[in-house]
Amino acid sequence: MTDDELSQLMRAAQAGDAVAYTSLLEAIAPRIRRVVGSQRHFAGAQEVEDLVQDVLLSVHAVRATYDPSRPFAPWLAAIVRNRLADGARRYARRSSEIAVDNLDVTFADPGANTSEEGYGDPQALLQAIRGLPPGQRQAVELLKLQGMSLKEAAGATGSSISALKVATHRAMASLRRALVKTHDTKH
Amino acid sequence: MTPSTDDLIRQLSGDLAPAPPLRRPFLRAIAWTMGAVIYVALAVAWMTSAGETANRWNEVPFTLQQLAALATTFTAAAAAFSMTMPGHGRTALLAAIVAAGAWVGLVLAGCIQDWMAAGAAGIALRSDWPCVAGMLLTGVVPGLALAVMLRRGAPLAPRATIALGALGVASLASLGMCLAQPHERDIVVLVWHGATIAAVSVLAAIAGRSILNWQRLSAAGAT
Repeated sequence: MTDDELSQLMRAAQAGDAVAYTSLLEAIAPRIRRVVGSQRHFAGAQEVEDLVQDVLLSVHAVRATYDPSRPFAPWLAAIVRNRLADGARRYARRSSEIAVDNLDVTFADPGANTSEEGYGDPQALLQAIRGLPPGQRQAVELLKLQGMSLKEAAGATGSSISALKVATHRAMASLRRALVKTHDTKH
Repeated sequence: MTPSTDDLIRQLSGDLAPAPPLRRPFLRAIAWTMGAVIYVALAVAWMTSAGETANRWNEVPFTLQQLAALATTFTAAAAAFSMTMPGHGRTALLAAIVAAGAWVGLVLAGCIQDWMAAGAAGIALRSDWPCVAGMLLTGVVPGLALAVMLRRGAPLAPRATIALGALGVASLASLGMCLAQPHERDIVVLVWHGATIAAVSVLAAIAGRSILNWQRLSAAGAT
């Protein structure tokens, strides 16, 4: 499909044409997947698909920013680049967290070497999860405890994938704060 | 294509609502600048006596400084809007840098003239907290309006976008305070107004990701 054709489909989508929008998204999804795959050699299939879906959600969210008088490809490329950069930042954060978790060293602070306390306390974790707002608790239970995929959890709750991502993110932050507080109270 | 992406496409298409294209950054910048100028003009009229300001319009350096501040306001707003439009170039950003540079240069030239005319007394600095407070208060309404308009775009570079918006708002607020309370010495404008503009822009940049982010757009459903 040429850039002109994609541009026409986007114009129709901006006017509310759902059929044109489906065609557009189906046409750009493989292109996005190719770009993501070429930029993320190390990523697994599921991670690539998550990024593709992130880009599609972003395209959807900012479709009003497409100027019909301009070519479509640079508009899409800018969004893909931006979302990939965000994804890379998230990946880097996760990687650094894992690296710290796996450090095989003894820390100077004696408290850091005590294994039976703090964040590993299942009771404290359970209590912290119970204290979450209903939406966040449900997201944690489905995604983290029951191991559902985002799609499955979205189907089970009727929420969008992005809303679940936000709820999980906030829940993890709340849990982290709650567990730190519990840990500090004990010591 | 995996089934999950297929499902997502069906979901997005199924909920599709019309999304008329946003106007071009240049046009939105004009609209915001006009509204903001009217608001600041009303605020200045309420704060000041017209006579003193009218006298200063005869001074070419003063007029040029205010024109440069207005140019900074417009170009910074245009650059901020442009940054929320994927695929747009950075010409507006260059224009904003040039305009802000021109404002600093003109105020600096005024300081040098004051120094040549009055010696050390010409660049003697006095505190100007009322102006800082006036700038902050004057900038609230145009700033909120600009933030609302920017949030309709794509959060591609949130920190830079919000910092540019803040630069535009603070420049206009500075212009307003120069009209409301004309300063005898340009060193006061350079240091107090300049520092306020810089501080507001830096703080805005820090808050950028809270104001503009993809999570907000996605969480809102953005249908």
